[in-house]
This record gives sequence, structure tokens and C-alpha cells, in this order.
Amino acid sequence: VSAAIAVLGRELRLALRSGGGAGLGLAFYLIVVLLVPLGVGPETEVLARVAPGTLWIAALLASLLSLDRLFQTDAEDGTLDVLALAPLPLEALVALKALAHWLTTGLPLVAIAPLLAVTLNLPGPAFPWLVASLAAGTPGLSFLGAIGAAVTVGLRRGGLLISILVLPLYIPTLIFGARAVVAAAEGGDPRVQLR
Amino acid sequence: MPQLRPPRKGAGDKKHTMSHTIFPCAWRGFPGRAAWAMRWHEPRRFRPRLSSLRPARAGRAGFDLGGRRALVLRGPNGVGQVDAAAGDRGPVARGERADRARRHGAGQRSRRLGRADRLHGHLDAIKPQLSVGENLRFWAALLGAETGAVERALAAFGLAAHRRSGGAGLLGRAEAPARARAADARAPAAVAARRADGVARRRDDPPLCRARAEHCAAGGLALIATHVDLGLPDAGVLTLAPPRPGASPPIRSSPGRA
Repeated sequence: VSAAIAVLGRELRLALRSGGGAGLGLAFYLIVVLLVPLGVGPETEVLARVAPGTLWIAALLASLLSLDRLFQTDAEDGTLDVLALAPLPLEALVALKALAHWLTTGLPLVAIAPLLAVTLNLPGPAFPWLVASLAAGTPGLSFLGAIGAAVTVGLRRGGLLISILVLPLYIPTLIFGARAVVAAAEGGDPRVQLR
Repeated sequence: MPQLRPPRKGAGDKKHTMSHTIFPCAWRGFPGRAAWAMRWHEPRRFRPRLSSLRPARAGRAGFDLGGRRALVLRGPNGVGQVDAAAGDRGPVARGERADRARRHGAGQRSRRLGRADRLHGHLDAIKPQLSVGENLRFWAALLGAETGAVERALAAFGLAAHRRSGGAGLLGRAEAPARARAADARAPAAVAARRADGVARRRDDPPLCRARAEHCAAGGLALIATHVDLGLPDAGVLTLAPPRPGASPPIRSSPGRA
């Protein structure tokens, strides 16, 4: 347990101290969502209709941004070699790194999503479900993304390849997450989508 | 299996023979079609030679240290001695028992690196965003070092004053925290790979030699990849040479078999 805490604490410290790490995804999320009204127009009905999908797609792309560095920096400085010999199982190490990625990338998106939903005129009843669906789905994005990050760890500029590998895996999460918010916005039962 | 050529007549003493075993290996970045010539020598005794070795992927390399406590892998830059040293840990890291030991050859004991061993790698495994103290405390916590091990390692490698310094502020001294990391926990075996920088090109390397001597004196094993002769009197030396044109076909042998 102490080893797991050490890994998690170190990952969080590194994410917070690295320039462009945790904040980059959040900034990207803000910019994408705030650009949408400029692109589709100020009509509130149109914005409300596209809001769930926009918020989810932006969250999905934002979580992709820092994925390429999930294992790459460790591979570059030899940390992965030593971690392979650590008493902690490799599966646990990967899970802890993915968890740290979610805590520094996904969780801020979940927290700021309601604020951005206001700018897109998302109906009030959908707000709790937006938070709930993002809270349930974004960990999956980090853990699925860890697969792509691990596959491309030995490649230079593997970021694009990660997107190609991982985005198809994100589709179910995107569909169920966005549809739950849409259902809540239209007065339906969003629990059907999240079951 | 590759065979060692027998020692020249009258050139060796069998009592001091050190056998080594090469398995097909999956060393990172290893050119699969390359061939190696390996020379295993002990000055003033004999020089058995293993040539045209062509390791394949999806295997591993193993070194039997025989009765010695330390083995030095040498060779020109780029020949792959670091990969050879690091490659020994691969299969074990995938789940073999840490304390695995087996009898090999004429009753000599051989063992593989396991989870209880320490890889003092070619790279630092030091994060510049964290202080030296934070880096070492992390490794100590992860590797299960005893209380006070970090302070002792910092003192032993002259890093006590740099405890709060960032790893990035130790340019040119990056080996020191890496060695301190390797020393912050007692381990049965240590694998060290010297960096090919200006410091590492010097023949004398007192901190590394001292650490190795202490480690071996405490009952540990050491495997060191380096470019230069470190002058370790009690260590065997395995020299790796560049591939030879027109080398023999790949060697086929099952991993784990001597």
C-alpha cells in the first residue's frame, strides 16, 4: 500500500509541477467549448441541442492531449526499467498512473463542465447528469488511453498514433455519456443510458 | 547452443574457469540480424572465445558469474553491453521468482535478477521536477528500503547538501543521485551501466568502485556495463566486439536453457 501511495503521490506531483501537463487539457477544454457558440451561432436552442455532444467530445479530446506522456517520460529517463523490477505488480503501476492521469486531467474537466454547460445553454435538469456521466466516463478514457500510450511508448511523436488507436475505443463511452445527458435534457430517463 | 572454445593448452587453470551462458535475447533496440563476437577473458589465465553469436528476439541473455561476485561487460560504444546487462532482468520482471537460483555447470551457483534486485540503469530514473530528496524517497518507498536508507545514501554520495535541489540542477552529476537511488536499499544483485559521458570515460570511478565493493562484500552480486577498464581486480570481464561480416546463422535455443 505504501508503494502504491508513493507512486500515486509522485505522479500527482509530477503532473502539477510539469508545465503544460494538467492545465493543458483544461485550457483546451475551455477553448473548444467556448469556440462552439462562435461557430454554430448564438441561437440558444441550437446550442442546447449540441451542448451534450460538444461537452463530451471536448472532454474526450482534452483527455487525449497528455496521454502520450503517460509512459514516455518514464521510458526516456529509465524509470520504466526500474519500475519493472519494483515489488509492485506492473498492472498496479499502470492502473495507478492511469488514475493519476484522471485525477489531473479528467477530474478538472468534470468540475468545470457545469460552468461551461451554462455557456451552451444546457437545460437545468441535465446538469447533474452531465457531471455524473463525465465522472463515470472520464476514468474510462484515461484507462483506455493507457493502452494506446503503452503501445506507442517506444515511438517518437506517437501522439497521433495514440489518437488513431484510442479514439475508436472511446466511441462507446462517448455514445452512452452524451446520450445520458441528452436524455436528461429532453426530460427522459438518463439511467437507461448509464446502466 | 554456442560453445566456448576450449582454453589453449597450458594457458588456463580449470579451477578458475568462469562459464557463461548466452541465451537468445530480446534486448531493447537490439538489431535482430546482427551478430556478435564475444570474448570472455581473464588476464593471465585463459581466453575462451565465443564468436559469431547471433541472438534472436523473444529470448534472453544470462550470465553465470561463477564463483565471483562481479562481472564487467566491456566493449566499444554502441556494441550493446548495456542492453546485454539490462536484458538479463527481462524474464524475471515478467514474474519469475525473485530468489530463483539454480545449479549450473560444475556445482557453481547461478542466479537471475529478480524483483529484489536493483537495476542501476544506463539512465538516471531521476525526475528533474522533483528534488533529489523526493526522488530518493520515492524509490526508497517503492523498493522497500529500511528507515534512514535515504539519508545514508545522500551522505554516501555527497548529496546531503542537494537534498532540496531539483534534479535539473544537478547537471553533470546526474549519476550521483542515480547511484544513491541504487544504494538506498539493500539488494542481492545490482546491475550498473555507466553513462557514456565525460565523467564515465575516466578510468577511475571511486564512488562506483566503492559502492560495488561494499555491495559485493555484503554478499551481493554486481553486473557492470562500461566502456573503460575500471581496474576492478576481483571482477571478471566479458568483452563484446562489433558484428563480424558473414557471421553464422542465428542460434536457436530455448530460453531458460543453458
